Amino acid sequence: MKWSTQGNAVIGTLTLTDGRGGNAVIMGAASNPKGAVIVVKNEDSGEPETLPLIEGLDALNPTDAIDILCMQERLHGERGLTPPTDL
Amino acid sequence: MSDNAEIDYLLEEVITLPSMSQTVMHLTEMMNDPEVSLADVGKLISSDPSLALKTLRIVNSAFHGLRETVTSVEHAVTLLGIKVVRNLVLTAAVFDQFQNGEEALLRHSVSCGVAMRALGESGVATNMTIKQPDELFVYGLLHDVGKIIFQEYMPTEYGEVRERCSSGEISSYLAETELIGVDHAALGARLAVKWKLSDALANAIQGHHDFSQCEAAEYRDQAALLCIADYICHSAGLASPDDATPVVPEEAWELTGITSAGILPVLEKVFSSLGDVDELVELAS
Repeated sequence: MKWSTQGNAVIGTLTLTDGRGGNAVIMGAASNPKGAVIVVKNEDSGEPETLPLIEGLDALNPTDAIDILCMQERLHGERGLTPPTDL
Repeated sequence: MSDNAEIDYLLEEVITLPSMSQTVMHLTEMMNDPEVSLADVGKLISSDPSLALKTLRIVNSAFHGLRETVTSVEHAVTLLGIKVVRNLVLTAAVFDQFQNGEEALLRHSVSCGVAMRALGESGVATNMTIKQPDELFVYGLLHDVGKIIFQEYMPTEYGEVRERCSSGEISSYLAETELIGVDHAALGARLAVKWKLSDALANAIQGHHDFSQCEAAEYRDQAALLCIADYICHSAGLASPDDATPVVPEEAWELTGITSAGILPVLEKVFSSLGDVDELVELAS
C-alpha cells in the first residue's frame, strides 16, 4: 500500500473487495476507535463515507488490512515496532 | 541447466550444507519409535550439555510463558511432551547455525516464527488442520535459511543479489534465480531434507514465494501460511534485509481460509510478542 502524510494523518490508497477505491486514514492508536478509518465515496451520493477500521475490515483485502493495522501500530503503538522511515 | 541440476552442481562444487546436531538427528529418529519413553528423550538431550542448556533457556523464555521455571531437560519433557521439546531442541540447534548470520535476517526469521505460531494459535486458518501451532515457529525460523547459506558460501554473488534487490523492485528469490541460478527457498528446502525435517516443512520452505514449487500439492496451504507470515513481518517493519515486499497471491487466502477480520487477533498476538522476539534473538546470538 502506498502511504503519504497530510498534516497529522497518514493516508494509504486502497481498493475494497467490491472494487471501489478509497483511503485508509490513520490518526491515532488502535485503542481509539477513530484512530484509523476507511474513507470511500458513496456510490449514490458521491459523498465521502467514513467507517472505523474495525467495522470496515471485512470490506478490505487481507493484505490491506495487514498493512493498515501494522502501520497504525508502527506509528502509534507502544509495543516497540519501528516507525517507518520513508514517510 | 534445470533448477535441480543447478542446485546439485552448487551443492557439489560450491556449498556444503551445514550438518544438524547428531542429538537432533537422533531425536528425530526417536520420534518415530512408538516405544520411546520420556526418560530416553531426556537422557539423549542431556547428553549434549550445550544444546540442553540452550533448550532450557528457550523453554524458560517469555515466549513460552511457562508459570514455573524448568530446571532440567527431563522436567521439560514431562511438562511439555516429546514433540514440543523436540521442536525446542531443533530451535536451539538452528540458533547455533545462525550464530554467524546477520542480525537483521535473524530478527526477521524469529519474527516470522512468531507470526507463524500466532497464525496457528489464533485458529483463523479455517481451511487448515493445525494440530501443533508451536511447531509452526520452526517454519518461520527456517524459511530464509537459504539466504544465510548464500551469505556464507557465495558472499560476492549474494552481495550482487542484495544490491539488485535494494531498490525494492525485485524479490530476492527472483534475483537469486537470475544471478545464481537457484533461489534461497529451494536451497533451504534441500537443507530441511538433509536435516531429516518433515516433508511438510521442506515443502513449505520450497514454496513460500511460489506455491507451485511445492513438490506435493497437499503442502501448498502451509507454504501459503508461511507466505502470509512473511508478509506480516515485512509490513510490521521486520523485513528480511534488502528485499522487496513479498507478493501474497489470492490463492493464499483461499488455501488457508484466513479473512481480513481474522487478521486482527493474529496481529495482536504478534505485536504483543515483540519483546519475545528480542529475547529469542539475544538467545540465538
